[in-house]
Amino acid sequence: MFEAFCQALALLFRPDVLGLAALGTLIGLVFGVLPGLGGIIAVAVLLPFTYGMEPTTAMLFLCAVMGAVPFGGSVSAILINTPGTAQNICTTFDGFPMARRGEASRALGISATASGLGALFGLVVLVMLIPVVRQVVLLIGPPEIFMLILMGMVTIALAARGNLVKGLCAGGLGMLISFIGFSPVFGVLRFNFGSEYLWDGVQLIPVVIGLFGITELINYAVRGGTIAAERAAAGGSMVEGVKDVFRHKLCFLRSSAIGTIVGIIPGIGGTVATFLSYVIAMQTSKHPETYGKGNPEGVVAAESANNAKDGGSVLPTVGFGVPGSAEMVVLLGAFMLHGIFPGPTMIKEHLDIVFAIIVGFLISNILASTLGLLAANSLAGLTRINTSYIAFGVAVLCFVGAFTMRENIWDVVMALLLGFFGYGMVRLGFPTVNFTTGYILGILAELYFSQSLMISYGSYAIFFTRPISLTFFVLTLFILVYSFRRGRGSEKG
Amino acid sequence: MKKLICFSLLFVLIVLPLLVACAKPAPAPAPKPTPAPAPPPVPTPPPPPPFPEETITWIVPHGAGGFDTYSRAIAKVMPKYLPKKVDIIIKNVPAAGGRTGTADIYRSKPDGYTIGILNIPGHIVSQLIMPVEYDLAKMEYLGLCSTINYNLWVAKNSPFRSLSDLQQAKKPLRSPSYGFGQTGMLVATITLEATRIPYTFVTGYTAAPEIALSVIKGDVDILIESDVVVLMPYYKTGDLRPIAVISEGASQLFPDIPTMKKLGYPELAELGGYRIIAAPPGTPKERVKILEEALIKAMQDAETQEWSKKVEMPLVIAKGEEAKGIVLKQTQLFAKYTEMLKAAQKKLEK
Amino acid sequence: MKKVSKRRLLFAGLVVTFTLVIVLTSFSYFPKARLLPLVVGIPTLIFSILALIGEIYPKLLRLLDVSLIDYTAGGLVKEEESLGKPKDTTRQVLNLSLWLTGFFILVYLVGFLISIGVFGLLFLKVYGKVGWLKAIVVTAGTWGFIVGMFEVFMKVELFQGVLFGAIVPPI
Repeated sequence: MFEAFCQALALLFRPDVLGLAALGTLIGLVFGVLPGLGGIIAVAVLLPFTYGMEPTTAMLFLCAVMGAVPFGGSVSAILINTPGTAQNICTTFDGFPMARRGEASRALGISATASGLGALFGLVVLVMLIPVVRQVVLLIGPPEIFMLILMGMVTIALAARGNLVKGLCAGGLGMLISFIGFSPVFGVLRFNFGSEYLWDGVQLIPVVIGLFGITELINYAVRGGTIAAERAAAGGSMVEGVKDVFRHKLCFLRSSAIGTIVGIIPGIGGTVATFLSYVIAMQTSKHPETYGKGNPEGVVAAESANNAKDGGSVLPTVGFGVPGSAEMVVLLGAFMLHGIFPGPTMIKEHLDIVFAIIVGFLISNILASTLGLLAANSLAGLTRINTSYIAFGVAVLCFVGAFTMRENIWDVVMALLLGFFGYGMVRLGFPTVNFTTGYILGILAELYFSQSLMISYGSYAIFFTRPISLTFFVLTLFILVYSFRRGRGSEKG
Repeated sequence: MKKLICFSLLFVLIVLPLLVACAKPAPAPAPKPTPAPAPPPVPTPPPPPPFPEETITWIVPHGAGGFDTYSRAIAKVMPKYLPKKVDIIIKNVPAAGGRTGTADIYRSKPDGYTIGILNIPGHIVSQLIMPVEYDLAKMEYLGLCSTINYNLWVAKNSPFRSLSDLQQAKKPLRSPSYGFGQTGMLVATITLEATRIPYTFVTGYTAAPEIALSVIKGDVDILIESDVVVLMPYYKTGDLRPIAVISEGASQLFPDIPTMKKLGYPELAELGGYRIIAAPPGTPKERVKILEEALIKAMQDAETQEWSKKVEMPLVIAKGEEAKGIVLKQTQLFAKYTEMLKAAQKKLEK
Repeated sequence: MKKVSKRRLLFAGLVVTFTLVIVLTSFSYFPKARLLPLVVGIPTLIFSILALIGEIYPKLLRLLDVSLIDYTAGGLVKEEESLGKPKDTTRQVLNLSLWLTGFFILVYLVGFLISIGVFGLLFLKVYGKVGWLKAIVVTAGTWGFIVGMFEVFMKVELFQGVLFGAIVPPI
């Protein structure tokens, strides 16, 4: 195995391959920054260009593209409060307040460092687990995934500040929206009210662009002025940001671990990984009230998780051809095109491809993070520009981004409507994050719940007789109890 | 304020036509009609405008997968065999389970610049049981590129060794599927009903590898699936065992495994999928012919053949006429099964 | 009783209506398919009604406001305070919403390429009140980037507008 790793590394010594890796990183960054675009579209667009390449080079290139996307997305998340991709939503919670304080460079420094190191963590775990990939993936089935989703939903629901009623209501709304559309599980078209457009339901990109792009756009366009309300405080530099990651190493390690585990679990990806990681970091912090106001630890939690998940998600993808995240689905398409078939034979016969993938992610994270650190100060300058320019640019990008995924003009309408609705939610105190969690997890929860019952011939025992499923359930109960006691405790104090 | 309005108007008036000119591709130049020759004045009809002149779009009503992969491989080589080498670009339209993409192909301008790949009998069944915006009988068929053959599998340590074992199972056997309306589930329903194997579906899976995994794990008991490419590695490691061959086309792959025909169910041998390429109804006959020839030659091309062997995705080549015949035959076949499928769906809703 | 904002009532009422419609529609599906929508929908309906009542009687809502975790986990909820006390934002929000809607209508009619140019100049001049040169430069730059990135590199045919014959997918 070490030999295969060295072989893959040796690829980088070829100038054409290195050049491709650098190009891929740059493309990944751009696709990450632009809202509505992301790893999935980037790989889909670039796939035809890889025709003539050898499989190892092609995979290295495509993974270089994918590896840079999370960091790219964090740039827009921090600077203009618009996540470049869904997995950067949590970065906005603390990254943007830091930018408003004039500490954008610091936030970018944290993101660059946490992203790079988080990716490394995920890749190391991946390499360690390759020999046991079969056993690991065979342990996970619909009951386990359902229990994990339940844990995620409970954790996030509990973190709704102050108004529990509105928080749960928002979460429920999100879940109901996710049920719209044709369900292949039941063969029924639900809640589309005669609309052909809603046959596929409400899509993720209009939701993210609308709720986080357009809502934000309304916010700062209305506010006027510039994004950075104050001049940079001393200690707001990029180097500070790098140090921050090491200051909060426990948070970093835990968030990377969460990201990697969620990545390994098929069917759930970056968005869930970051939400879970952020909320757990907040729950276990000594000063949870500082989260959401510009606490660097929040940025660490979010950005380590979304890069760590990439390493984890490769495991089931190459081991069984089961995608560990949405981005891996397109990578599988790339495999097929180049005649590589993931499965039991891939690890044995194509270890060089597996390592080309790993090296691709590795090099792109190194390059992207380095570039990010160097450019942090200049990028931070964006926060001192008149918001009208930003509003215009973001409006254009949001509209085009919403359109591009399916080349459907109604997606732009959906994004607009959700943007207005999102603004209303924010003003009335309904947490958009609960809504988004409900939206992402609702339909998935139903899928895995139903599948589990079909497997068990209708018996609910299946959730409690399988060890990993039971473990997640117990963890969920533990989180509930812990939160109650903590709430009581601070009330007394 | 007035100044602003003036400026805006000026901008729109000047820039608009510029943008329009740049945004749309240049239209194909109209050819000059050949002048009538000197006496005797026999007027020759003007030759049709040269085709193709611009990029051709190939619609794939699916995301990544078999249809997409075959389309890309063929579309890469096809321009070589067109009178003029234009690009053929793939456009994925996976919405509404492929119905939107198929409707797009049907509704596109019939000028030969849009073609697409069809899921037969998947979209035949859609047309039979629900209102759709296309009529497969009216399409102009260019050819067949591959077939989808189904087999019946079990896991390595499954207690069932033969079809009769399955028929005598005490509990309903769990069979995984992608979901209602998918061809695989249709084939599975028809097979299981015909052979009277007690069954229940586990739906919601999204791809063949997931399904293979679930059989190996023991979450489900039997597997009726086509994706040999995914299943072959498991066959070679012994994790999965084929019990019966359903589609006639798969019999060479597993010569020792009994076919449904031999086991007494010859009607099941006709079940299978076809990946057929077509153009919108009304496309002029000469353009259809040009496209058809290019398509067939592209599939026979050495590069495509080599790719096909390398990735183990066999090409089954047939011309437009034969492809149309397949569509009509499959339509008749599934019309027979419509009632059975509807009844089976009602049963599963309980 | 404090003066109740009509707009807030309207929004909360919208949420209640939507949830009610979903719950009622669920009953038209067979049991398995309506299970989760009802399990989620009925509690959500109750919560949304409570939230609506809470807009009229805020004291009641505070009674039920038992946050299991008693701290201000900001970021997850951005109430008015964190936005920085806005003066009379309703008019400004409406104003901006009109601009965005207008942009969309423009895109629908004449497509992205023309709309970006027109919207850019109008918005920056009228709303942003920036100078002519800056407006033209920013608009041209954005236009160039969009064309280069999407039309040229990604080969995406940006919506051309119904007036230019673009086919609109079914609603």
